Amino acid sequence: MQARYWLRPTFSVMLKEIRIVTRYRTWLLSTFIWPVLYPLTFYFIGLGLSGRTGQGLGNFERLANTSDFASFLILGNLVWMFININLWVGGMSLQRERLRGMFDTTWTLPVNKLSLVMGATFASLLLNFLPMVVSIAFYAALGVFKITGNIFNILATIFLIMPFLVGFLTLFAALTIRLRQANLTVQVVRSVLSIVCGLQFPLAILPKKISAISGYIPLTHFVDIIRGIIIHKHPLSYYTGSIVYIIVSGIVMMITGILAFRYFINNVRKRGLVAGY
Amino acid sequence: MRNTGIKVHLNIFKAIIWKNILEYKRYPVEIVFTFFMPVVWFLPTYLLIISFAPDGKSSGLESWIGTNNFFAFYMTGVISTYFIFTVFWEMGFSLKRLMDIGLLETIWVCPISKVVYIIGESLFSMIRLTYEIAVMLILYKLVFRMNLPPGFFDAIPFFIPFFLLMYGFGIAFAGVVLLIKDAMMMIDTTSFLVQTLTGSQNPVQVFPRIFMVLSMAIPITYFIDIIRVQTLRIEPIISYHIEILVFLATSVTFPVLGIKIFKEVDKKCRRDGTIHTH
Repeated sequence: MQARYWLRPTFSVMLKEIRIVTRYRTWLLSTFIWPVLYPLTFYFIGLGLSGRTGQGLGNFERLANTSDFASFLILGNLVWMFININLWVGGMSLQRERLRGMFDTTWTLPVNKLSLVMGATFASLLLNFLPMVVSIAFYAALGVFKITGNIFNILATIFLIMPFLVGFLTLFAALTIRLRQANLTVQVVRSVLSIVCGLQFPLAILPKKISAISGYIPLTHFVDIIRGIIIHKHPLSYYTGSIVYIIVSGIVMMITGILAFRYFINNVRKRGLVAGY
Repeated sequence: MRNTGIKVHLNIFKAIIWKNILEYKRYPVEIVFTFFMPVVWFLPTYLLIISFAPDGKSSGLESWIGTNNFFAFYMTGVISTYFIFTVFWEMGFSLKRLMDIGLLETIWVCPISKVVYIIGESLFSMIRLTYEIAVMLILYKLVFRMNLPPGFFDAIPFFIPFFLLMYGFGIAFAGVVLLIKDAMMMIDTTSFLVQTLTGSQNPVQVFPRIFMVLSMAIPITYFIDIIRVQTLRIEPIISYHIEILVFLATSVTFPVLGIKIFKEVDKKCRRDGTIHTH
């Protein structure tokens, strides 16, 4: 198959998704507001628990290996937020098409079906990255959070996790073709990731059996690296093992996502489930 | 001609509740999830709490408000959060759902009061909320060993004005949904903001000044604080009597204001011909 039959529709879908999102200004506004607001809840809970002079901080410091609970929670929550928004916007793109009544129309287009999901996924990643930067700037301006790590190391780590994220969102979109009502699946997936990857609390609080599973999830490594660079000022070389794992698992996840997508396309075709909702 | 009278209203409520029951039954997975989603949602927060206070007793909390019982403190906030989310998502979002499935105009041309329709929509939500709170309390007790503070049930009478207050909020919000067509994000953001700013999960004393001002402008903050003063004997944010006064006054004015806002918006949408646009 020629690349243009894949690239052009991917680009068109990406543009279409960006146009739809920017069509609703409230959505655009909240895209920027959410990453600022969401970590606040956890920050305030942390502040309430740590006390006026940090008298309640001891146990957290022992578990998280830092007394900077604000940076720890804000970073973890931003990663969670990014995954969460992308699940709703990118992962649920096909279900949204169903709701709009456009699914059958786009499904019958003479283009690679995968490009429909890829376009929405790229649009989602693109649209939601900037608000994360705005959020970090907001907290830095408040003085709650200090950007002390190497910015290029941070960007390199974000770049490395992208294949995993794209593969994961493709896999999720594939599931929505078959499941149809996938809202609850998003709720479960985001909660499980939050818990198993220790995004909103120190991982050391989990029982050993569960934290052993955490080590297999690239997101755990990702958030660990980001926290390490920013809070402890570690260089990237400190995380060589984790970086190799993120790259390899990213490639595996991309292949799995594409294979799953093909499987579910055939599955719904055979069962005659393309049109129903 | 518009249908009025108690019997007619009861029939309307019955029809709306039945419609919602049918819709609810349509997705059985959602019913199953009702039982374990409260645990899944709360788990990250619970793990954060015990990473600071392993047995739920927080010296940090004590330094802010005079009690160290974070679990009981949190539980009172959780119940209020359930109400906040139900009002925003069920009353406000009910109109958005009708827009999405293309039924808003159909319902709008029915010869019934729109406010009655909104209240009808909320009744099923309130029934659902009651059993969901009951399930949540049992699950939290069994899974997290978290209980309501002692004397919580003595504070139940305060929930009556709270219901009125929340209905006022919900009806006004439904009006705003009519105006702003893509309301999902707005509902999500507003409900979250209200939940955060009212101190449902943390003492409001931790807020910076600007957040504190916003928090004090929301009457729900006073309700949550009143319940905590009653049950946990904490220091009130402001004078307890003033808190009661503000709370009761707003629980009377908000429903009236909510209905007025909704009617005005409905009138504007009819005049501008924007009911059908989406």
